[in-house]
Amino acid sequence: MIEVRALSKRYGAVVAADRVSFKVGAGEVVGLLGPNGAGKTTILRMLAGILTPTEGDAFIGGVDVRADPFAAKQRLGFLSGDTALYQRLTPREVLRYFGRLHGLDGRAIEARSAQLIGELRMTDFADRRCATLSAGQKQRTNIARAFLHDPPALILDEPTSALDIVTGRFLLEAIKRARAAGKAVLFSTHVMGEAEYLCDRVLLLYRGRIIDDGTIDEVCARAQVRTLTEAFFSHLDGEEHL
Amino acid sequence: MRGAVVLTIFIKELRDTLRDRRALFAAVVMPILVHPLIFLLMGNVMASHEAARKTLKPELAVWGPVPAKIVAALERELGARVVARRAERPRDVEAEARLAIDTGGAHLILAAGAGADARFAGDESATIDLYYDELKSASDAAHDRVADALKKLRASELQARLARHGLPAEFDKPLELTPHNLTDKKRRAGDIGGGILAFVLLFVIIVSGMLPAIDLTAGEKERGTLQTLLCAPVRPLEIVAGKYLTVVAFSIIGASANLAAMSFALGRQLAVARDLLEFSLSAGTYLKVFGAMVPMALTISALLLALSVFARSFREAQSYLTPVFLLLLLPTAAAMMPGMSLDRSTAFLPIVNLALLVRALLNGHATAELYALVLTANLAYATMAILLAARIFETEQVLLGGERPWRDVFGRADRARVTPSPRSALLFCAVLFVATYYGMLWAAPHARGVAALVALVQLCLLVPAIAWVALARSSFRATFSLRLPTARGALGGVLIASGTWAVGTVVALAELRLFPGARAYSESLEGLFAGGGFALIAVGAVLPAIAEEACFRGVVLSGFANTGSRALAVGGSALAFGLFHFNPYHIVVAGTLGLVLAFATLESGSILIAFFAHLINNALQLARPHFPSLEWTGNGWAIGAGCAAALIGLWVIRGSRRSDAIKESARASRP
Repeated sequence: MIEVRALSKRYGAVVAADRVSFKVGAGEVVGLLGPNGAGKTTILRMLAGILTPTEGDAFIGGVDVRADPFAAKQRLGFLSGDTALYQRLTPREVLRYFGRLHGLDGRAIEARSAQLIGELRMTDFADRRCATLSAGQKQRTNIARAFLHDPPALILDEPTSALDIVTGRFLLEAIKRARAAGKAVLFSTHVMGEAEYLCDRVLLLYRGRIIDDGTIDEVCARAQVRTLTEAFFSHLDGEEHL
Repeated sequence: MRGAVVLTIFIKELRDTLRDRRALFAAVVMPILVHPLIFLLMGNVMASHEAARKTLKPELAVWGPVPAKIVAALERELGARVVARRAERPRDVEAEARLAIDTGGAHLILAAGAGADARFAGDESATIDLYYDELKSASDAAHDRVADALKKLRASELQARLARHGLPAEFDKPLELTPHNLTDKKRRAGDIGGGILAFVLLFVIIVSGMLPAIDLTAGEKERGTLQTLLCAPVRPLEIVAGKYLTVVAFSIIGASANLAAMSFALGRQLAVARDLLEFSLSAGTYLKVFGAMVPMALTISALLLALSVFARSFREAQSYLTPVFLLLLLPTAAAMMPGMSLDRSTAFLPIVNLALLVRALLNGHATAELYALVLTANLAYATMAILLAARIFETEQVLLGGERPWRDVFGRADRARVTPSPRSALLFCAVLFVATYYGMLWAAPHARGVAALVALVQLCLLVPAIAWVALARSSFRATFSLRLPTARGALGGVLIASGTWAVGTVVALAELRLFPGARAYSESLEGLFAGGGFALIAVGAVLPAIAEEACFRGVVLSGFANTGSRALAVGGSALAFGLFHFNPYHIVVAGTLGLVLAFATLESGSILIAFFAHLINNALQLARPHFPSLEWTGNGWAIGAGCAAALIGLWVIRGSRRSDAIKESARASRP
């Protein structure tokens, strides 16, 4: 559902992503883990069509992101921790706007919006301007926006950053529901607990390269440790010594 | 580009901007409150000042033998009062007069040299010097009133002298000059008002459009909402077009609010000055002002948007736009210079043409042709600016903050396309319009004869068309549809080629009936081509069939076809072809022919049909003056048969493309 082949991004001499390859299948949640500056956001932005890869290919739902970014974006829901909302619109208006941009008709937008507003408990603030919402309420609106057109693939870039534990839980539950619905979810996070709770597989990223790829048990076994956090540090230590 | 998506973005952005109290207050509320206040305050102050001047009783200092009759007349007529008197004119009269006025000793000094009173009484000329200070209101008013009264006294004294000597009243008028200025008060007022209005319009359009332009681009980057939009399946040109329409709408709303508030206040003041300027704020004036506002808003909004997109923050955008604001005022000031007027040589000058259009609309010198030229020029400039903004919108270095954004924006695309992209075709149109227009202006005085001029203009088209395809590394065969038609296509093509001239004739005849101005244009064209001879028929038929077809059924049509909409491709290329003829009457005829030729090319996959139809049409039109006996354009049967042939041909030719052409066009629509 999400496939990346030898994807690279260079800014002059700086290599932000170095021949990265992986796949995320339908009904699978894959965690992209790495320290700051590892290249997580760059890779996710290339998949979302915001950045153009220097080399390599990326596919969303079988569509080449470079050749047909328009069709690829139709198949993708993108959410990041720093995604902002239009301050002078209400959450309901935001959903209508993005519904139309995704080509949904009026009835479908209203039905889907009502469903998401109910599921994400947004009824109390759905008609208030976004400028007056709390960080958690804004992120719930953003989740609804990313899920609105029912895309087969979801890319979530540190979506729980700056969220309280209650809103964070909303998001994690939403991801679980998406997996159950057969969607491919690529999820970057700093929080190892979230990865352990959600991910079927993890990709450890360091300096633009994938240094390990596997289930949490496999990654821990290879590092000869018991927890993902220990495995993460073990890999980082190994890389620093190289 | 999808109209529905552009409309969605436009409605959202307009709603968002209208909810921005800061922008709304600056563009709409402020002018509605402030303009009437300023005008009313200024008007009242000026009216009371004028009333005080008219009723001022001058305080005079009389130095030397000023004739008593004169002083008495001033006392009687103006209620003047002599506050100081000297028997002789002082030696340094100017210094003394300045001192007297500065210390409030008098408003005005009347000074006369020795013997002035005697000369006045003896039917000779007496010189009276009037000393006043223009910068002191009372002194200036006293001078105006006294000078007017003395002119009247001089006239009555002259009549009395002539009567005393038994001479007729016309004795001192051996020659009467009667100037008849064809610029009446109304036009003069329009010229002055138009010059001022050009400044005002430019100012209010910039002020109204600046905040939304920054807010929708740099502001969105700063707030972090741009990333959300870029993740949606929306093309950069659609985003820019939606935002551009919002800035245009807001510029027009803001400018209209400003002008409405000004005209409300000005209407009250004009009543006072009606004897000086016959300037009325009629519905016609409003319509003219709106007519000037639209092209101005189109260009300025595009410019504001293109520059704001580059900025990373609100503050940075302001620093880009402030100098531009000042730079835009320079050409507007140039347009107000004496001797500058809207004509064919100034109609394409950026910004200058807008200021001149405002003047020309209000002083009555604007024609439909000039208006169409200015509109076409501004559409071309606005298109260039919007395409630049769209290019910037897809440049990640600019959007996400890079070190060398300019290199990315102006660099060539990595991959070649089979045929030009829709944006490339649109940019080609804009560049072609400007280049060809200036090419024509340059060639007109240099070319020897009409045939040479036509040849030069057509070369100005053919060379850029070929260069454009070569630079884009596109396929010449696919872009110019260099293929033979199928048998069915050829049959339809023969019918279309034999009847296209008749379609053009029907439209031209309808236009002549509906618009009286079209006749003058038609006659001027006939007059131009009548003396061309057979060389002109050969050149004017063959070269446009090659060069114009290469441009409009080649680069433009193939580029617009990549939008995926055949209607847009045919309609858009026909509109471009019509506009290219740079005349409002020619736009309709050429546009209609453009529809037929574009449809034939797209459906047959071959440019040959358009080539022959174009060639036959031009040859028949150019040959008409040489074969008056044939009169095919006046023959209803011939026209009817021609139209029927063209219509049947269009029906026959539908879907007659070769399979390789279909595959090629499918490949072309991909980057």
